[in-house]
Amino acid sequence: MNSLEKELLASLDAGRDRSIAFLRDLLRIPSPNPPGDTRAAANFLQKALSDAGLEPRVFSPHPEMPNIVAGFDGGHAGRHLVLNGHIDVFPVAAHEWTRDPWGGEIVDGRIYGRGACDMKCGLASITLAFLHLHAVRDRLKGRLTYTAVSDEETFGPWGARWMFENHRDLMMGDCLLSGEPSSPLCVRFGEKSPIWIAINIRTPGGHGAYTHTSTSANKIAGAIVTALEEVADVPVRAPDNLVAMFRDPSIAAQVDEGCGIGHASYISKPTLNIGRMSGGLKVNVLPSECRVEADIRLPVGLTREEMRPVIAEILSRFPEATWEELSPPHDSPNWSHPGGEMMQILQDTVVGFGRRRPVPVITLGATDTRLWRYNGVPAYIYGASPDTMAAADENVLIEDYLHILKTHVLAAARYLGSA
Amino acid sequence: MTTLAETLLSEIESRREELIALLQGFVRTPTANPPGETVAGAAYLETFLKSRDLPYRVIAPQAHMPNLLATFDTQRKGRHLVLNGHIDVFPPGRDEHWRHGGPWSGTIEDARLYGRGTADMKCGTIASFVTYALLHRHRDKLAGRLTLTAVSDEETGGKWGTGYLFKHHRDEVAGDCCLNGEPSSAHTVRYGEKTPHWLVFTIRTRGAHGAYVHMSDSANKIATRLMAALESLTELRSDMPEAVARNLSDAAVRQALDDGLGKGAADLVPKVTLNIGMIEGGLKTNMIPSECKLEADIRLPVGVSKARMRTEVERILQGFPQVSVEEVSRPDDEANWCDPDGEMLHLIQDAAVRVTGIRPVPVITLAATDARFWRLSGVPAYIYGCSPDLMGTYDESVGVEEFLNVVRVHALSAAAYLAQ
Repeated sequence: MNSLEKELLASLDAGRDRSIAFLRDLLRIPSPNPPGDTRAAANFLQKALSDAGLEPRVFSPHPEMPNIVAGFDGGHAGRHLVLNGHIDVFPVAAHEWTRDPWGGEIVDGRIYGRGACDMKCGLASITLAFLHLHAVRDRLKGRLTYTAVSDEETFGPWGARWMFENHRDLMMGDCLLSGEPSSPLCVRFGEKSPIWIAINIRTPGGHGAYTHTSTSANKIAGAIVTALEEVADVPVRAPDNLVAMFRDPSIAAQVDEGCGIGHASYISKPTLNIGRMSGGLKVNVLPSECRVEADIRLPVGLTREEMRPVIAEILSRFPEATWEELSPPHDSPNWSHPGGEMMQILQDTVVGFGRRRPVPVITLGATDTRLWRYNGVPAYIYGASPDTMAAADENVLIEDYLHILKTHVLAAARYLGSA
Repeated sequence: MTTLAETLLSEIESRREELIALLQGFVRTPTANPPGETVAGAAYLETFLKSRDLPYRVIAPQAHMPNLLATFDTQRKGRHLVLNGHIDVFPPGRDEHWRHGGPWSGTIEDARLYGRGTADMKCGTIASFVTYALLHRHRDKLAGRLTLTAVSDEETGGKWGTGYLFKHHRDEVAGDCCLNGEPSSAHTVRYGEKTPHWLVFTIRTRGAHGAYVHMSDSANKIATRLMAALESLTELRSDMPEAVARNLSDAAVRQALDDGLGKGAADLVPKVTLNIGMIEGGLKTNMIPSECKLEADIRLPVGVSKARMRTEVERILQGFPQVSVEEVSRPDDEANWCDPDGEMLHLIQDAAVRVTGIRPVPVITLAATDARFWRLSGVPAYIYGCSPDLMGTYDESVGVEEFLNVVRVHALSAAAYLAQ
């Protein structure tokens, strides 16, 4: 460990309480998406950057969904690393929580709140990492860019996607590091890709006692949900090296330990989630309309072009149903080199902290990192445990958060190099 | 010698215009429920009784929902017949959708009288009042007792109407038989009805990110499996009383049900039906839903009790530990029936043949009425009224002649039941 790295760690240790307070403050600013209004949380981040003398640029193609970009050059020429996080979080079903979802409470060494793992922990971490590195910028090589975007949770058009379409030059670099949840035991180098579809079922409807007068939109929806399970059996042709990696029992075991039992086995399989079902007007009316929203995840080795006809065939058995695709139509499963330089830096940095060497993982969820991969930029994710992601009582271990912050700081410093 | 029946028919004929105006005036008095404000409707009926010096009582546990109770004894011992009708009607919906002068117009066009409640059931309630007044005038030719009940709060369950009368004035209103003028059509007499059993199922799971299908059960997928499992309820075999089973296998009865309620209706009368009226689960496409609600409208036929249905549902739910259930229909109701071959049924049939030339067949129907209070107390209750086809619609109406026929059939069958 060189002297710069030692200094950085010392300043992180000294700033421990401020780092914890920073995440708690960020969690106390609601930014659920939908509806996706992130202005208050974005203001908080901007202020942190401005207070350090940076001049963040803000792009708000949607007035309630700002995107923040900041950057600095090191004292010497070198490579360009981009940090990325998103400001919006999942919505909250408040009655299911035993903690205040916007309270930032600390209980038994954990910080609670919506976004604690997805991904205000990671967002706080890349923000603070950026500020710590900015403070020593003269001794760093290359360039560091900070991007904090909105509209990620719904893969809407106003966040990273808009930035790539309109300011690609600001987003591009030689490598991307993201703080999305990965579990401290894993580094994400690739991800599955979602196909989201909305299915609308229409029937004549009628009185609820007169079940002979019409088919039921809700019952047809039930039959469709059952039939759609067939998408999980569509064959997958993944690259041999990836197949081998996740068949390795020790890698699979660590993936499951970090990302949840069963994760490894779903990396190479399509999955089906029925996110929403909504049908009918009243208990005693035969429903004339039902809407189903399905979330299908494609593994590496299965394209949208292969999956679409399967969906179309299943739904063609139900003449009462029409459907449309809700997800971006050109996304695909994506990955960076599982043995790439940033992967090794992250692994070595974590081992240097006395923790277990994180294993490379392809994750089930999609993130904005796909946009960098589509543009040829290797992208890696290191962040919190996904254990309570999107669930009630979402939380992060304080020690994990501080570990992730240290890892981001050192990995970025090592990637850029110092003079 | 002129029979009482002939006298009644000729008196109805001579008062034809007066009777039509009587129904018109009642229709022009709004009594929508909800909100259930029926004071004006009750006052209208009170005027009818007062002007004929017929004593009555107002029983109003809710001041805005009065019930009327009138009774007379003849000079001879005999049986006690109770007439029952309701004052409240369905809400009118949107005024601008009515094609015949609005919901309370009472307009007559092409020999049909239009307005909310004409069919359900102001036609029938007026028939009860006219029958009561006519038979009172001729009480010297009758035996036993005749009681008239006009209630509010039928459309919303009867707690403050017939249910209240049965709870607090049972001796006065139960009687030996009930005649009710709810819609039935000229082709049927209703002697029984299925009962609604409404259940709200709540499925709760942990929830998770939608890509992490190994992290949580899906409330929506469980709801789907529950829906499929609940279908087995429709296969339950009812312990159908033999008299009902015989009635339901009668070809004429089956034809009348299919004609009246749509093809296939006859098959459903003896069966449990399941409608999943509402399903609502999940917050977002890409979250594994942690909660889903199903609202099921189960209709129990005669021979399947609520207690048995509860046991069956509990049995199904043993396979669904994530599901809780709440009953939202009235827990004390049951599918109900009286003798499809009973005396009053034959009297109604005979009167109908005489008046309309049509012999109505006895049927069990899917709709719930206040007649259930009598049947569940062991008192036979029969329904004969106008066609139900337009009830609750923006064209709700009753044929003028159809209305007069209901009056005639009620008067004749009530008189026959109380004949010396």
